[in-house]
Order: sequence, then structure tokens, then C-alpha cells
Amino acid sequence: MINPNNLRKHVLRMVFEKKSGHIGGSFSLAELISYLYSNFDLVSNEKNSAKLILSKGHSVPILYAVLYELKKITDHELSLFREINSPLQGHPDKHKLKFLHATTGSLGQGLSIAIGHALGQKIQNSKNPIFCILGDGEMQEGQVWEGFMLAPKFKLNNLITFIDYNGAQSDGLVSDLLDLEPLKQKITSFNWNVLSISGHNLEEIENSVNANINNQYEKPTCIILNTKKGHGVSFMESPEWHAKVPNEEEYKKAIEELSC
Amino acid sequence: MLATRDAFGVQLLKSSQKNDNIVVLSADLSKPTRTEKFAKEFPDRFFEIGIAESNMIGIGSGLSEYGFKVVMTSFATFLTGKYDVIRVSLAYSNSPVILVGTHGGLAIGKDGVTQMGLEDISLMRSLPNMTVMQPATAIEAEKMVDHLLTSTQTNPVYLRLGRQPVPEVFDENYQFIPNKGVVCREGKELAIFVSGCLLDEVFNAVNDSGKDCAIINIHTIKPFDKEILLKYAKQCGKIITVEDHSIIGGLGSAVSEILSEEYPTLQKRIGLNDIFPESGSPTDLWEKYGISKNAIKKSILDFI
Repeated sequence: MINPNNLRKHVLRMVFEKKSGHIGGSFSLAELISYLYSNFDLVSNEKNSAKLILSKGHSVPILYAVLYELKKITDHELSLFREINSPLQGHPDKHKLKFLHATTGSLGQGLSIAIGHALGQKIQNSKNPIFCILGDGEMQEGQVWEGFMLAPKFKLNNLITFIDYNGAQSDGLVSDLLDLEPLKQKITSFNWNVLSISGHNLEEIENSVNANINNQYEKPTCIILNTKKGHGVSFMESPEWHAKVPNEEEYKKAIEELSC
Repeated sequence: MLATRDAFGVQLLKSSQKNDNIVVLSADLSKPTRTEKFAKEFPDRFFEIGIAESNMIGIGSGLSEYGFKVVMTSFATFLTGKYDVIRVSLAYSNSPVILVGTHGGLAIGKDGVTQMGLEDISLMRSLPNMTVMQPATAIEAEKMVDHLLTSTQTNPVYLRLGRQPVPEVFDENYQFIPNKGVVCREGKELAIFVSGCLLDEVFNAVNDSGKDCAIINIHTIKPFDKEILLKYAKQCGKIITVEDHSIIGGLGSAVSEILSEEYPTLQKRIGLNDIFPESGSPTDLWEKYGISKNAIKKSILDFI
């Protein structure tokens, strides 16, 4: 099992060294990414394999971190994060880095792409899971709801969509800017399976995925991950760490905390 | 007379009878975009997404990873309305799909401005990885669609089609050659470059004018056939471009971009002149907004 805090350390290193990137929304996904990459083949990128569509593309540092942890990208490549001539773009580019399954970064587009994948797998009679990760702020985009409305029609029980409900977006709290509540009821009323769990509890993540993938009800599943932006480092658990870069002291303190 | 959208529908059905890899996505407009017959014959390969073009475009992007020939249709202007989705999920993602925008131009007539694709070529042309095509007649549309559905694609293609029936200019021996302009008439005094459903109007205008004009049909606006443009710029010294589309960013702009860099040549652009038109019959609209046979003829006579 991949250690989520190792991923957080790699994220910190990238953002600290390049003085840019999104820590908060990467940290809130560390447990999910550890679980998914420990349990599914998300790196071979064959037609007939599981896929992960990171719709909230700004959290791509957590994917680079897990690919580094799995030795799919080198130390040198990691050091090129956001630099010129690098496969590690500021937001995911599937052509520049072959392990990524979608090019994203303009919010709201990933669920549709994931539905396309889920449909493609279904047509080929394959049962590979398609995972999609949405941000909570991203739920304010209309295209996301087009996807939520459509997926049950095609009985896409191979699709699992996670919502990283960390409560914060670029300008502040989601609940202040445009509240999503009642979120679970909204998505349930769109005829999805909906679960609301702790996004930092590996066991809860595992159980909810296992219980619903390729379910007999032939419904797509939405797992609302109740998370904290910046989770893992006590002083980073706040909306201001959406895209903030740590200074040297903060960096050292954070690495120390993650090493305990 | 057939519209280019009709020829598309016929050829889509024909090609799909031989190729079970073709998948069609629809955003409610299967009747006017002519995918309805495909839907009836191949219900397992037809997916109704509803009136949600963004969602359709994203789904097409995902599906294209599985080796299907993905065809998506709507009215041109409803597709370009989702420009950022086309930009990121298709163009930047370099998804090999065929995006079909019908109802291009003023000539859709009575439904008015909101249904007219008037800026779609400008928008599509400016996206890296995107090929932009527009057939002039039913035969050209049929051959072009056959080519697109049978050849291996490595990038997204935007195909612009017309609503109105157009007189046929070609015959069954017409051969579609990708990326190459088609010389429809030789001439020395002036060269007219035209794309889309106005080809017949151009022929009539040239015949009426009594002038020795070359007519070149451009079915592929991007990548542009530079060679043929430079050849006729040198041969004729004067160029007119004709399109049922805004003069900003379309065929006229593509031609002047190349000419101004490689062989500065006097050019007159005929098209919609930076204005929103209105409802009306196609011929009334072309007349009022200066893209009719008469307007083209007047330009020829003024220019020579």
C-alpha cells in the first residue's frame, strides 16, 4: 500500500521547488490516490484497463507524486514540474505524459470524458472501472450536471465518480460562494448510487468502491469524499492553501509533520 | 438537388453498412443533421445525449480512445458555442473525432441568426490540431465523408455542412483528394476562391460577367492548399474569395494570411461583412448581405 504522506511530501517538494502549483486540493486527494493506484492498474494505459480521469486538473501534482512513488517518472522528470520542455505540465496533458488518461484543467469537462470511457468499455463488454475525480467547486459548472443527468441512462455501473468535498475553492469557501447543499440528495435524485464517506479513511474508500463497482443495479456511483483541503499538515488545513506556496520554514515544518 | 447535409446522411449510412466501427453521438438534432437513418439502422451504435452539446463533445473525446470512428453532429453554431470544450477536450486532447456542424451560413434562411453558423470556420481554424473541411455540393460531400469514415484519423476534424439543396457541379467521376484545392474553371483575368455551397452562384456570376475568371473550390480550409493559391495569385494577379460565413477569420482571412506573407496580391473578400443578418429566404438574404450572384458579378466587374 502506498503511503499517502509520501505522496504529500512529493507534492510539497514540487511546489516548493518551483514556487507554483496547488497543494490544498492535492493533499485532500492523497488517500484516494494511494488507494486507487495500490489496487488498480492505472499506469499501463491499455485500451482494456482501468482509467482515472482527473477532472479537477489543478490537483495533478498528486498524480505526479504517485507516478514518482511507483517509479514511472524519474527524479529528474519530477524536478521538471512546470518547467519548459517537461512532460509534467501545470495541468494534465495526456500526450506529454502517457500515464495520464485525460487532458484537463478547464473545470467541468472530465465527467463527460469519463462517461465516454465508461461507454467505450461497455461497448467492448469489458468491466474495467472508470474513475472520475471532480472538485466541489467544479460542481458549479453546468456541464457536470449534463453528465450527472446522462450517465444513469446508459447504465454505467463501471463508472465511479468521486467528489473531493474539501469545502474550498479559489476565492474562498464553497458554502459562501455558491453552496452545493443538499449535495447528496441532488445527485441521488439524478438516479445515481450516492455515498458520503470520509475521504481520509482508506478503509471507507476501499469498502465503498468494492461494494459498488459493477453493481447489479446497473447504476453509476458517486462517492462524496468529505475531505479537508491541505489535510496532512496541520497549518495547511485552510482555504488559503489552494494555490499558496510554502516558504522554506513552512516547507521544513510540513515535511517534518508528514514524517512523524 | 441535394444539400450537403443530405449527402452526409446518405454516405454515413452507406459507410456504416460496411464498417461496424462507426459510432454516432447526437444532441437531439438527428433529423436536421441527417443521422436519423443511421440511428434507426444501428441503434446499438447511436447514442442520444440530449440537448447537451458540451457533454456530447466530452463523451466523444473519451470514446475516441477505444478505436471507434466517432461522429458528433449538431448545428454549427451550437457546437462553437461550446468552444472551450472543443478546445480542451478535442483539440488540445487531439481526439480523432469527426465534429459535424450543419446549418452553416445565411442560407439556412427563415430560422434566423441564432441558428446560423456564421463564425464557426474562424473559431475552428484557430485551434491547433483541428482540420476544417467544407464540401460545395452533394457529390463532394459524399466523397469527402467516405474518405473521412474510411481513413485513419490522427486528429479532430470539423466538417461544415449546409442546410439548403445546392445544384450539382461535379459528376460521379469526381475524386476527392485531401487537402487539395479543386480547379473548377480555368481563367487568366481573376481567380475566385470559394468554399462551401456558393460554388454554383460563383459559376453563374462568372458566366454572366463574361470575364475570364478561374474558379477554385477549397474543400479543406485547414490545412490550406498554399500551392494552388500562389499559382493562381501569380497567374491572375487578383483574387476574390467567396463564402457564406463572416469575412473575419474564414476562407477570406486564410487566403489573405498566406498572400500577405508570400505573394502580396490584391484581394476582395465576399462574405458576411461583420454584421448579424436576419430571417428571410436564402436568396433574399444573399442579395441583401452581398453574397449573391449579382454581388459576386459586380465585384468581378469592379475589380477587373
